[in-house]
Amino acid sequence: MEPTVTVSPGLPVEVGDIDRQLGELWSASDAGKVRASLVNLVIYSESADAIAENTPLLAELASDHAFRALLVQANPHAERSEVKAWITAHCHRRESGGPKEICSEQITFLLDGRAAGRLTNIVFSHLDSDLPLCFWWQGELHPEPEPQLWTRVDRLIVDSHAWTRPGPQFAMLRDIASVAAGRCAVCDLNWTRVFHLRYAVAQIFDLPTAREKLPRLHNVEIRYLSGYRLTALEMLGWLASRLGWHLEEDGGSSFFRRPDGGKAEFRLREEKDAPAPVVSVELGFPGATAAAKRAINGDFYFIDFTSDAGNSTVQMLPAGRDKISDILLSELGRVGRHPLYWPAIRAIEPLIGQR
Amino acid sequence: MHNEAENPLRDGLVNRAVAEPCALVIFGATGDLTRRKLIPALYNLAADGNLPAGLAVVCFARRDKTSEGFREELGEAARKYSRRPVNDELWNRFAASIFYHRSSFDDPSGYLSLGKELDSLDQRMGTHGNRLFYLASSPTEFDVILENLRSSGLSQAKPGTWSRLIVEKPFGTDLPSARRLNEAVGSAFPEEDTFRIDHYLGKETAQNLMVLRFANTVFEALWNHRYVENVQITASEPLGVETRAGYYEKSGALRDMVQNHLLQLLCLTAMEPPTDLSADAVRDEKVKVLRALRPLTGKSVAENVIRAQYTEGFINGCEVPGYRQEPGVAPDSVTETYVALRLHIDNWRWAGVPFFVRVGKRLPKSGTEIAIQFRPTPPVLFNRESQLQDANTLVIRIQPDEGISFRMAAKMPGALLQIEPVKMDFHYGTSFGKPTPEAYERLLLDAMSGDATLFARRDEVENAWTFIDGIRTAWDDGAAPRLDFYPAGTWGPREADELLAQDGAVWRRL
Repeated sequence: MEPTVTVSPGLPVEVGDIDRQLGELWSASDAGKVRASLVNLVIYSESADAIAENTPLLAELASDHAFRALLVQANPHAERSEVKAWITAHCHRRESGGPKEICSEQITFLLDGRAAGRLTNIVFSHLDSDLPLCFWWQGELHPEPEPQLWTRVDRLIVDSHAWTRPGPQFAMLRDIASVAAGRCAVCDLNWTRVFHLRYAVAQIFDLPTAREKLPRLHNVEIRYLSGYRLTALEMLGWLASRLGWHLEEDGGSSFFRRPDGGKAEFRLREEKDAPAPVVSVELGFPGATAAAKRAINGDFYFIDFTSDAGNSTVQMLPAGRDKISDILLSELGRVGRHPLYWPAIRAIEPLIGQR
Repeated sequence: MHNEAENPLRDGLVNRAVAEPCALVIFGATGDLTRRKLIPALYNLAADGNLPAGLAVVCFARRDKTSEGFREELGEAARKYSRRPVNDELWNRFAASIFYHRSSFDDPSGYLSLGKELDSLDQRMGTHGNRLFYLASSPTEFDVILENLRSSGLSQAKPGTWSRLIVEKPFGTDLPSARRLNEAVGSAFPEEDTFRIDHYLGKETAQNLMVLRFANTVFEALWNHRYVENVQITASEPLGVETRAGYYEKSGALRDMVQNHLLQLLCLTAMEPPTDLSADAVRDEKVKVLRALRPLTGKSVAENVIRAQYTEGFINGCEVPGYRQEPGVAPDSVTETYVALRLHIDNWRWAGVPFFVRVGKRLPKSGTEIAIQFRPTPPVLFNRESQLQDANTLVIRIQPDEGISFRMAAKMPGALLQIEPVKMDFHYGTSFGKPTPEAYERLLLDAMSGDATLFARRDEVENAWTFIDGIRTAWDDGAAPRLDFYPAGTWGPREADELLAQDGAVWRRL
């Protein structure tokens, strides 16, 4: 079902009057609408188009995952300090939700100048109590927010794909994660982006014949779409960390050392035109090959394990969707932390700054 | 590092046991169950990426068909019954793993050729020697299939592989027949490799019942005779006997619904916390509930069980015939289409708490739910005049509109002290946008991964039949009152209301 998409952030309201205005919004709505919320979703961005870009995105998300959204567009460099606010609701009729429309609230803030420094207060003042707090920081992280914010956040969402200087950004993310280690789970959408590919590759090795080859994996080739090298690296980092490999360098070329002392070589191949951020993972073993490849214009990965004797097992697995709203939904629908993420990043850290 | 036998790439990807490569052999594959439930469930598992890399589905049946032709038939069924639209490319890939094996159930050579085909599929499809046999045929064929699986050696797993059996209900028609069936199953498959399907246990809310009870401090503390007045378990449906008269005439509501589905829900509601979440720990606790059920025999059946049959009436404003006028039903049939029971669980937790269970056809509304009615507050302050008898009710809706609601008393705004019931309501459909998987998806996946938690164990089945047989015997001996009647479209016979009135209770209005 198509959501009602609107770019307007809704009804302008005074910041101190938001709760009352929301109450009026609901009392004025018809009985066929139900307010629902599973999570507080805060989106913070310093992009000038943040409201225009994220409002339709929230309308789309609301059809699958009820929330109270706080969309914050900040312009810390504006000369004048000002706070503006709007309220709106995104309503959808769900097949599984009965006859009523399910509505999610969106409160939008524009923070100009010094008002951008009030982010923590603005967020804390407008949360739906007792629900988890997911905070999506769009773009480059910076150290301004008070550390207390992170200790109250349940999931900090970033997208490392969008970072221009990933090295320092990962360091900052690690600092935040250590400050709020007790509560805050770090979620990199770039990591979620390759979830289905990781799942597809893992599936190959449920086959006992493939699993016995895995310790002797000696060659990895990953093809990726231009602009997604970091995504491909995270995929490589996952493989390396799961298999206990360590990065080494010899004469200017990098390779992984396996636990049995053998070498595992890798190659990242950039493609100008590809159906997905990471198109394929091809693996070489003594006497066998395996691959997970994204079908062109397809929603599936084809996985294949072929031995030199000619036996081949092929399967289709869902590839997920590449739209940011789908990736975010996938993340919101998941519970728990990402225990494999940091080991994967550590495994490829020296390669992050390279081209 | 990881255990060599495990897949190190699986860690952290899915929080459940993974389905293992296997050949699924469906006996009676040309029947309705395969087309309506099993194939759509398998297709949806494929679409979610939950099927193992090595899978073959072998459809064993008598009719003369080819694999190609049968794939086409099943494709049509998948398009009709799948909960999500069928993607042609994925269907074709999945359908390539379906094979038709023609044989009668009593022909030993059919099983020998099946064995050869399975060995060949191990090489071609990567099924690794694992076998999952699914008895989807008529129960009258179970014995001969099991005997042939045993004598052909197919039930015997080769080293490093497994051989499992899924049995569809009914698991017998009484205790002796259930025991005979269990003996036949046990002669071919060990109990730990036997998976008896009760699809109610695969429903999301039934699974959530344990989470609700044991993951939330607030409910379990109140879940006992000190705070619970009574428990009502209801399964109602507006449908009549439809095309199942032949079966229903022999089974009736007691055997069809109470022996399996409703007693399973009762067990999940009443059981003690298991020591862990393993299949046997959970099932041990369920069996203890069945053993603690106060037996109903002879006169106590008359006092605690109401049986009734629908007469002509109205459903959704349309006139419908009475049960005895339905095609295939004897004009003097005494088969019950409605049963209401007052049960007691004689253990420390539930001493003195009646469990009211009812099931019926041609009732006004479709719904399966468990309602925990809490005791009223003392008759002082707001309850001085005992007007808050049913102030607090926790309702777990199994179907449709799966969810949980809690009813409580609240003061109405205004100068007057006026108390009204209000309801806090959680709907799966509203809160979670993702569609709920069909019960068969979960159950097939569990059987492929060897998790028997949601399947009935032999002693559960036999204890349930022991209890049910006591009631049937009383009915057959004439120790219990004769059949009562209720017009279609009403909430059952007056006698069922009187049963609750004896305890000062009333049936919930769904």
